[in-house]
Amino acid sequence: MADLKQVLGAMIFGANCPLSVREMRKCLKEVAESGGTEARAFAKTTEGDIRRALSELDEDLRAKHHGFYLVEVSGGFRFQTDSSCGSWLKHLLNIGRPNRLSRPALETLAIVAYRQPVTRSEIETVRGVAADHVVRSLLETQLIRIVGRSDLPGRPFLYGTTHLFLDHFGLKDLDELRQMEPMLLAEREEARSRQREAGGAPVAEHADEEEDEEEDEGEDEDEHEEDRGGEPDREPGRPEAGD
Amino acid sequence: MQPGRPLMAQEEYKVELEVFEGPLDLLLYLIKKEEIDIYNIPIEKITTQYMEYLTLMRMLDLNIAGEFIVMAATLMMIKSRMLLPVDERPELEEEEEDPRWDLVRQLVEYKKFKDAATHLQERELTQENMFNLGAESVALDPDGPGLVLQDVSIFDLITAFNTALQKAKPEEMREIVADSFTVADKIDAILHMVCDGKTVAFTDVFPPGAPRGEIICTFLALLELIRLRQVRVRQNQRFGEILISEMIADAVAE
Repeated sequence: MADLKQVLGAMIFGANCPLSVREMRKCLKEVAESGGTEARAFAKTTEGDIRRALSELDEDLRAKHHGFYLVEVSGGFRFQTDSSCGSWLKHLLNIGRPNRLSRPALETLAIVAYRQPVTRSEIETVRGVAADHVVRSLLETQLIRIVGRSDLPGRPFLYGTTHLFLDHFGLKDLDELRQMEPMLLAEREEARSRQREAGGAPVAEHADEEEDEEEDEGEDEDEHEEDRGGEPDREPGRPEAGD
Repeated sequence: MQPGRPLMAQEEYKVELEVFEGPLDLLLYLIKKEEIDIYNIPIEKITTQYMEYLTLMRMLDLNIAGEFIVMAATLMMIKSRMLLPVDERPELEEEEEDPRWDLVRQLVEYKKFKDAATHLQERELTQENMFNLGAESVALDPDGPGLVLQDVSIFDLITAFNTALQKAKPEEMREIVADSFTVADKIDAILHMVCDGKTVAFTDVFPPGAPRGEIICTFLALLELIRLRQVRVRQNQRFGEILISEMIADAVAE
């Protein structure tokens, strides 16, 4: 009979896209309801069980040097190759010269990432130069997206980062990003509270569907939840990440 | 140095280079290069250097943001305010006691984001070596009128250009230099120097004793080659010699 670790490994391999713990649990439950004795063994598997099994799976892979291991990114778990094997893979997959972001693009991304939701004008104030071209091209690459409109005159667009942004930089979620720059995090909270006092907090119109789902998920594990503890009230519709 | 105006005739090959960096980038570059304390900027010195770079960029006819000019005016204003004896300075809010304060605040904030951007860049490089099933990759736009520079900044290049320019053959005031070289020629020349995987130092790209016009022409050719992603530039040390080499299709992380 397949053990949990095995089933999860197979699922992640077969899924071809990151699989969240929630999705895995859902799958186990559903198959348990319709499947045979084997499947029913997993009917009561909790998210905690899943995480423990995944952790074991990852340890096994790493210990045996199989060339890949398990990693958690935004959106869930997936397999990833050892970075030390990069050159062979690049050659095999015929990756041409790596397309990297320019410094202005990276800086603009940093501003959006740490200040989101943010308007183009706010970006320009920080960089001291027009941001039109960079913002447009970042939108095209889908590293950022429009998350709403500000209440300010002219109702400018508000920008935020996407899942692809987290993926591209190998980040699990925005919290991981924020921990990278504690100075910016402190500032951001200051700026937010100043905004709230002034009564001019930008309100996003389009609430993120995904985000609502996340809010409802109050099951076993809280690690995924962002902004529980530490962060002051969330603004309605503020996006975390996601398309 | 002559007041900034384009000295190059560019009939054959129209070079259009857009610079995405802004005045804050230049100021931070100068602060780093001259090892200036950001909280105690020698305003006279930095204004002079800033204006020098501005002049060079205009001489090269680079497409720069209007904000550069605005910043020039701001720097002048700060400079003049600082020259006034303290009691004669206009009444200001407390935060503006030091005329440099607003600018410093802006620079410090921008610098924080620049540092954040560097960390993101490091992550990007790490991620490049990892592959996974079902990953979406970001399709970055390789083309465009802009100079996409990563480690070597446009200001590093301009600094090196300025050094080369200082060594130019001095022109007599009314000498008209015949254009025996074009940007297209220089593009050819540079490519020839880096073909077959050779690396050449920036200073070696300029023929010794070349007149100013030729130096400018050569530099523009280099910028164009960078823009077209035909060559890559790097520095092994911050503010060190710039090295030029071919951009190879399979180039693995530098």
